Amino acid sequence: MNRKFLPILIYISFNLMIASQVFAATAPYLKRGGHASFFSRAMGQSCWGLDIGANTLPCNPGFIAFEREGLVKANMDFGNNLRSSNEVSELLANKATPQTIENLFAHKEVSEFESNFELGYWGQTWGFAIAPVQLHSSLFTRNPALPEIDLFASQDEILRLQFGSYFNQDLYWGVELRGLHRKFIAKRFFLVEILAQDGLELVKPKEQNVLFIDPSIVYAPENKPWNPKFYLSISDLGFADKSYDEVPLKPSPHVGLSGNTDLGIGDLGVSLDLSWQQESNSPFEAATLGLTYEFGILRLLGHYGSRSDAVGFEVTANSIHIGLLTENQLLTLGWGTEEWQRRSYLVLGTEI
Amino acid sequence: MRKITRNPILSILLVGFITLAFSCNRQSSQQSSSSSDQSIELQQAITEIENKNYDLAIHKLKLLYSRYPTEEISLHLASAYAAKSGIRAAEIWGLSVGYKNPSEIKDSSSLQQLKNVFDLIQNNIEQFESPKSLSAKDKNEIMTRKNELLIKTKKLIKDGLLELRKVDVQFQKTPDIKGAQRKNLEIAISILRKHPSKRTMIYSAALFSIILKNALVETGRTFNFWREDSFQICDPNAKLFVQWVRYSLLIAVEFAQDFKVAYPKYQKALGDFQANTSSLIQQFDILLSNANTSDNNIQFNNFESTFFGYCQ
Repeated sequence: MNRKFLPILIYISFNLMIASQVFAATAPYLKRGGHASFFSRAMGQSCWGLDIGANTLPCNPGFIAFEREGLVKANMDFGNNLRSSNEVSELLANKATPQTIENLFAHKEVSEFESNFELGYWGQTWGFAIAPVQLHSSLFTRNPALPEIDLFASQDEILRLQFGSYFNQDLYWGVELRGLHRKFIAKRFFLVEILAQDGLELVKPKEQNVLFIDPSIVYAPENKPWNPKFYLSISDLGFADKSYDEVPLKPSPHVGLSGNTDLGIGDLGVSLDLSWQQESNSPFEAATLGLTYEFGILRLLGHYGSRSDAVGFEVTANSIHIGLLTENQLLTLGWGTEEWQRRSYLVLGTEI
Repeated sequence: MRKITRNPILSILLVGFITLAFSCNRQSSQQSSSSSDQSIELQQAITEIENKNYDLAIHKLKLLYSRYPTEEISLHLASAYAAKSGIRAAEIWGLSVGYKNPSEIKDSSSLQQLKNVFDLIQNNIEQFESPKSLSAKDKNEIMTRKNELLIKTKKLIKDGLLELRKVDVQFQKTPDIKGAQRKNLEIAISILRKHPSKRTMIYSAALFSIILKNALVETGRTFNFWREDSFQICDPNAKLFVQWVRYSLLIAVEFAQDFKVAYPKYQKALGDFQANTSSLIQQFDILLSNANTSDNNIQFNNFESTFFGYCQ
């Protein structure tokens, strides 16, 4: 039975690579689907291969079916450049004034921030998490003679429910149901447009309710070196009450494998994920390699992909953990060009 | 691990899963290569603006615009010309806030300064009316030959300045430009006017306001020169002054034309302003046409030559 599935997974992987295509530039994937977390930033798409909580629940719902003790977790993480948060909050609350706009666009450099709070329970075969507020903002400008703005700002409320079980001894399944209420602004415009009549309508927030269904299958043969895990998943299979081009519902398939081994001086985890996001246009771009290394209270994290890389660490002591990472990401800007951006993230969390 | 439990629906689920995986990956939208080339070339030109290589930026943007005459590229091209004139985001922003909140500048010092300038000009016109300020020769000539024309003209100038005064602009924040810079702004405006929309016209109106401020400064400057010459009617500065008044009125009309596209809710008010100001300009011409017919010895083609023609 087990041997039958390996060729199928390989066959599917191959076909998905061939079928990869170029996607139009829209809101970044992590921001679009409510996936943003410290761990998903640290590991990129390779987090889909790891049986580790991304904030509170695993990225891949297939891992929810594994045996474990129940944990209540809470995490709070921040991205860099929080100075614009007040202005973005005013924009999203539809209370923007010309002064708000002036403050927001006074920074000629790229302005980005992200903050997230999530509380959840990860048990055996099921788990849930609630993120009452997840804020994202990115602001890019060009042409100092006539500033052109590429703005994405969103305020999400997310409820996640994961459950799963097994088909047989080594084959597991899991599903994440993710409800998301989103208030967002995604707009490219010239600064002078705001100053024309009804110009502030340009930055009037839109609202959307989405139900995402992320199914996954994990094949994890027992008693093998490196504890290998193969998986096939789909993320962002969504249904929305209103559809917007800026935040498209584009399901993304994931295939990958991962494993971990005890080196004697710590535990090494490796994950290779192939996933097709809007930015991907080749099999190489679809690939993300992630590494974790745990030694005592320290966990090192990192990933490398064609469009992002990151390195960071977490320290856990007395149920409290703190982490820090730096990430580089290649972003497709609203005007069609691409730019590498570096960010730093900080996480504070607890487990009971 | 758990015991193997053969599930008869396993294969059905897997087939469905695989089908779903394939179908969802087909949802994509292609970006054409020409669009990509356009984006890259546009970014390269904008980089030249960022590096303050305005001539090179204009060259690249003109080439790009000839191939893709889009509104977006026209805005960047116009901005390159404006930047070459020294007009960048900060200058436009200050102006725009002034336009956006005209009520907020009612009592501002800048508006008060503007009012003072206009009051001074009006006082000087009143002074100009006084026979004491004129030489005896000019006074006699004007009184005998052009008295009616002069009084009407004076009134027109005063009315024209009053109309200009109604343009609520934060002049304090409006940058100064020179003649060559004004030429670049005029080119920028002509490019923007090929794509009339709210965003192009608010930008165009902003550029017009800079030209207008410059014109009013020149008007005041030439008026002061004329005043220093005791308002001699045949003084060259008198002619320059009238030319600048008329030019300012014309620019104000053009400004209103673009501004009302950007602000349709002011369409009536701006339309009235345009009508009044255009009427003033027409009255100049009508008045002068009448003068032409009243004096067959002098052939006048325009206001300036009519007004000053008899000095020749």
